[in-house]
Amino acid sequence: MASEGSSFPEPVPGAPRKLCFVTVGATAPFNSLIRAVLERPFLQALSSYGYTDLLLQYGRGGDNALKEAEAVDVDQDSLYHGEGIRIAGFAFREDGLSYEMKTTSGRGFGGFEAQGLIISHAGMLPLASSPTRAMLTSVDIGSGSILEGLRLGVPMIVVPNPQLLDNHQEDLAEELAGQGYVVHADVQAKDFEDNVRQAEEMRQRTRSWPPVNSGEAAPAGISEIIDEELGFRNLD
Amino acid sequence: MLNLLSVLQKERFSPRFYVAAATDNMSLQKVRTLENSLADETGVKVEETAQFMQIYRSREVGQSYLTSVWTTLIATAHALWIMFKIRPQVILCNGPGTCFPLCAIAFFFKVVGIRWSSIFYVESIARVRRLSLSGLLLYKLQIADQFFVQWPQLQRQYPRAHYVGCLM
Repeated sequence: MASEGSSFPEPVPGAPRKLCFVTVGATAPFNSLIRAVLERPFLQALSSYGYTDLLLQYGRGGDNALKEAEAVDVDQDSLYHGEGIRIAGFAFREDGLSYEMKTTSGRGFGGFEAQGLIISHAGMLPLASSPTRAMLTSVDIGSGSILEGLRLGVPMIVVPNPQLLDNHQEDLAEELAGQGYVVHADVQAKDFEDNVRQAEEMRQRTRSWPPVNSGEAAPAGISEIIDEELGFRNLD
Repeated sequence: MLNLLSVLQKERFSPRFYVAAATDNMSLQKVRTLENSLADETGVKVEETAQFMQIYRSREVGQSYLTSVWTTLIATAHALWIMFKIRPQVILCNGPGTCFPLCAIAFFFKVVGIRWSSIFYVESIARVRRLSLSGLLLYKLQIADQFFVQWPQLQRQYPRAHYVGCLM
């Protein structure tokens, strides 16, 4: 139980509201991630780092994982909570998750003053309106949750879905983790809650996005290359 | 694509035709918002500088390759119609999938001398070590005039590509 022998700090009473937002995307169910964040040690870890709320975008069928979680109770108002954390969830949002992302940014959206945490599936697809053909669309307008999180500068844990076979997503998660932008987590790991500690440590040293490459060959300017190809000359 | 658009000098590229996959609802919405605010800024009517259309996809994620043959043919026919309608001088695409029939047709037009379009392809930011299928085809068949990647590892593997950093 609780914090005997635990290395987690004690939560501060009366502290500002702090949100952990979990998104599984629209491509495929990812109930194993929902179950992992509803485990007792994980909720305890969140609580000890001052998190007050846990919001789940759990995808199709994900509400079962929420209802069946052992560490989660339902109160008389039908609200979920576990280990002192208020828990809420939804399957999808028609027009994307920008607002939910912003509630973790520490700018006061939704009443959350403290900067929180984003736990995201490793895909790049935007959240489609419904889990039918639209969800299978591959669109690269850069609106996937990983990019939004990077732009907001919020600590992020990226979790590849082992059920999705083509894992070029893993490449991206590894690359971003290697550069110190995200925590790359394995949903099947036994000490999954340790990712919270890693994300908290990352908060101290958030890097700006996009990366400024040093030591690597400098990136070329795409606009200049296009202009040159088209024969535009600089008229200034 | 929105960040990519922001680094381009848009006055040089007008009118702009945006083509998105038929099942994708969000991209055109977002681009419309961008173009509307641009039109507001410059005081021009948005219909004069930007138009939006949708194209059938050759293949959906997870679709069997067998049925993909038929849907690719349909997508190609649709792409042909779109190419005749727009007659672009510049094609800028940011894959994957949707753009391949359009680029292939533009390339074919070039080869037979019907029309000249410059073709620019930006590989997805999600591609760190391996190209997408569209990217691979456009690179290997040398269909794109300039090929851009967002991660240096890919530039090392595909030396004719330009590494332009993370644009998204």
